Amino acid sequence: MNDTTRVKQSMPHHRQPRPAAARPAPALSRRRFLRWAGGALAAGAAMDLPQLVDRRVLAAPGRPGANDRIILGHIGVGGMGGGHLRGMAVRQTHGQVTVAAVCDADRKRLATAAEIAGPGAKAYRDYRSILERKDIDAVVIATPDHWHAVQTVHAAQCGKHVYVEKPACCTIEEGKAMVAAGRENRVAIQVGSQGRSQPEAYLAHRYIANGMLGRVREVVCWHYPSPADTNPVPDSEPPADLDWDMWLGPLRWRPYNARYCHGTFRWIMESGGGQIRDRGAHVMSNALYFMNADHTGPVSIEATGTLPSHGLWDTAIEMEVAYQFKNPDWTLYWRQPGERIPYYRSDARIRDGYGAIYRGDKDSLIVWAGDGQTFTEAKALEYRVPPGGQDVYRSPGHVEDWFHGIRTGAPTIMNIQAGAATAFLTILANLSLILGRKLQWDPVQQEIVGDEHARRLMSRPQRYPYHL
Amino acid sequence: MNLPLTAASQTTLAGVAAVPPPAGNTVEPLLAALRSTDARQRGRAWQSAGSLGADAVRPLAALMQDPQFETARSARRAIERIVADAGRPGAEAKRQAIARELIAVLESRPPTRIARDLLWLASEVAGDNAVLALAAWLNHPDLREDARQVLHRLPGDAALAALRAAFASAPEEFKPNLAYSLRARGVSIAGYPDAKLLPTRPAAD
Repeated sequence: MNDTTRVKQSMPHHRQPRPAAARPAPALSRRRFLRWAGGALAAGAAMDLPQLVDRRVLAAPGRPGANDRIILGHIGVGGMGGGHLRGMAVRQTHGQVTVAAVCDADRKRLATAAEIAGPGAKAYRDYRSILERKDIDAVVIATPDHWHAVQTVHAAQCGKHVYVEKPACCTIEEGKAMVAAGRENRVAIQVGSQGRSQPEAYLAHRYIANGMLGRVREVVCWHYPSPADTNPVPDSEPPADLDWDMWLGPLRWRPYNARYCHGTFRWIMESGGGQIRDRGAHVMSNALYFMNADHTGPVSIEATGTLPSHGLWDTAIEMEVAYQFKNPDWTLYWRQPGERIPYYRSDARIRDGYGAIYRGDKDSLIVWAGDGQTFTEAKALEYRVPPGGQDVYRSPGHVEDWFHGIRTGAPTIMNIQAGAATAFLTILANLSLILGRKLQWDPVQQEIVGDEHARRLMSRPQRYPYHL
Repeated sequence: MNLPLTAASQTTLAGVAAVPPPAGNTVEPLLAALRSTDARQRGRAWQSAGSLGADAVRPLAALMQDPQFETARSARRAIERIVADAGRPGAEAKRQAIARELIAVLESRPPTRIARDLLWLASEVAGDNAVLALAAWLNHPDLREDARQVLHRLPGDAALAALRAAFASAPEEFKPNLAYSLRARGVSIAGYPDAKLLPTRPAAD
C-alpha cells in the first residue's frame, strides 16, 4: 500500500497533514528516484548547486534508509521486553534490524537477553550507555512503567527513535514532556498499544468511521478485576542480582519488597497503576482512535472503586470511571469488572475478559480484548465500503508501522500524542479514585482545573539524576 | 449483536461499593480497628478514615511504628485518606490543619521510614508556612533527597528561597540535586551540570 492509498477521504488525527516544514515528500518509487536523482546530480554538479535527495529513500543522520538495517538497543528485557527482544532477534535473522545492545537492572535477565540477542550485542546495566552510542538508531523500552517517560525523553534527546511499552507515562507532566521531546528531536515514537495495528481493529474502525453506528454516544469498557496481595511480606534486602536503586529510578526511595517486582509493580499505584493503566492503555487507546479523539480529552472524570484491604498492592480491585467528552458529546466508561460480553463464536478461544462496546444511535459494535488480540463482530468483518465511503489507515503491523515512521518521518499509529492522551485517561481516573472526588480537566491545556491538590499530583518529583 | 443504549449507560457511579465508617467515627475506634488481626476490618477502618481530620494524624503517625507491618501500613493509608479529604476544594481550613499536624509530627523527628512518608504527604497539602520545617530535612543524610523532591513540588517563593539557601550551604555531592530543582524553576546555576545522561554503572561482565 503506498501513501496515496492509505487514506482515501478522511484522515484520522495521526495521519492529518503536517505543517509544510515537517511534511514528508510525496511518494517516490526507487526507480523513479534513481532516474530523477541521476539527472539532478548531473545538473547539480554542472551548476555547482546543492544536491537534493529524498530523505525517505536515502539515509539521513538518525534516519536509516529504506534498505538499511535499523540498529537497535533494548532497554528492559524481562517480561514484555523479553518478548520484544525475541521478536527483534527473528527480524535480525531476516536482515531487518541489528540488535546491538541490551540493558537491564537485573543481571539474570540481562544474561538471558544477551544470549538471545547474539554475540553482536553488548550488555549494559545502565541504559545511558546505550544512549551514548552513536551507531544505535532506535531503542525499545520495556522497563517498568515508572521508567517509560524518563527513558523515552532521554532517548529522544539523544536522537534515538523509540518504541516504548504502554502505558506511556505515570503522570501528566511526564506525558507532556514525552510529546515535547518527540517533537523537538523529530524522532519516531511508537507506544506499545498494539491493538490499533490489529487487522480486526482496522475493520472495526472502518465500520465506525463510515457511520454504521450512527452518532456514537457512549463507549463502555469492561475488564476483570485487579488482584489483591494475598501474601504480604515485610520489606527486605533486594536480591543480589537486582540493582534496586536503578530499578526504582525516578521513584521516591523505598526499601525493596518482594511483592513489588518483577511484574507485580503493575498492582502498585506509583508504578503500574492497576488494570486501568495496564489494559486501559489498550482498550481505551482503541476508543480514542475509533472516536477520532487522540488529540483531545474529557472535560470531567469521576472514579469510584474498591481498594484492597491489605497488602502492598494498592490499586483498585474494582473500579467504575466515567469520562465526559464534549464537542462532540460522548461518554467513555471504564467498568472493572462491568458486564463481560462473551465472544460471539463459542468455538473460538479468545480473551473476552476485557473489551468495549461502542453504542451509537443506529447500532452498536463490540470490540473484544483490544491488545495483541483484537476481535470484532462479523458485521464489521463482512462490511464493504460503498462507493463514496471512506477507508481508514491500515497498519502493516505495530513494529512495521514504527519502522515506517523511522524511515519516513510519518507519524506512527500510536504516536506519543496518542499514547499520552490514553495514559492521561488512566492517570486521571486513578487520581479521582485516590482523592475521592470528580475532577475537571481542560483538554486543550491538559490541566486539572479548580483543584490545587489534584494539580500538584499532575507531576511527581523525580529522584536525581533519574529525571526528565 | 445489537445492544440498546440502556443497561450499561444507566448504571450510576453510586453503585460501586462504599466503605462504612467504623462505629463512632472517632480516632480511638479507628486505632483499635487498625490493630485488628482481621485484614478486612483493618481495611474498612483505613478506607473510612478520610473524614476524621487533623486530630487523627498524630496517633496514626505513632501507629505507623507498630511492629506489625500490616498495621503500620494501614495507619499510613489512613493518613493518606485524611490528606486526600483535606485537599478537596473548599476545605482550606481543614487542609491547613492537616498540614500543621504533619509538620508537627515531622518536627518531633520520627524514624526515617515514617518521616519519609510524612514528608511526601506534606508535599501534597503544605503551604509556605511549612517550608522551613520541611527544609530542615535537607540536612538529614538519608532524607535530604526526599526533602529536595518535596520542596521541588511545593509552589511559591518560600520553597524556592529554601532551595536557594540549601544550595549555598549544601555539601558538594548534593549540590547537583539542588541545582536541578533550581533550574527547573528557572534559576540560572553556574557549574554542576546535570548528570542525568551520564552512565554510572559499568557494562555487564
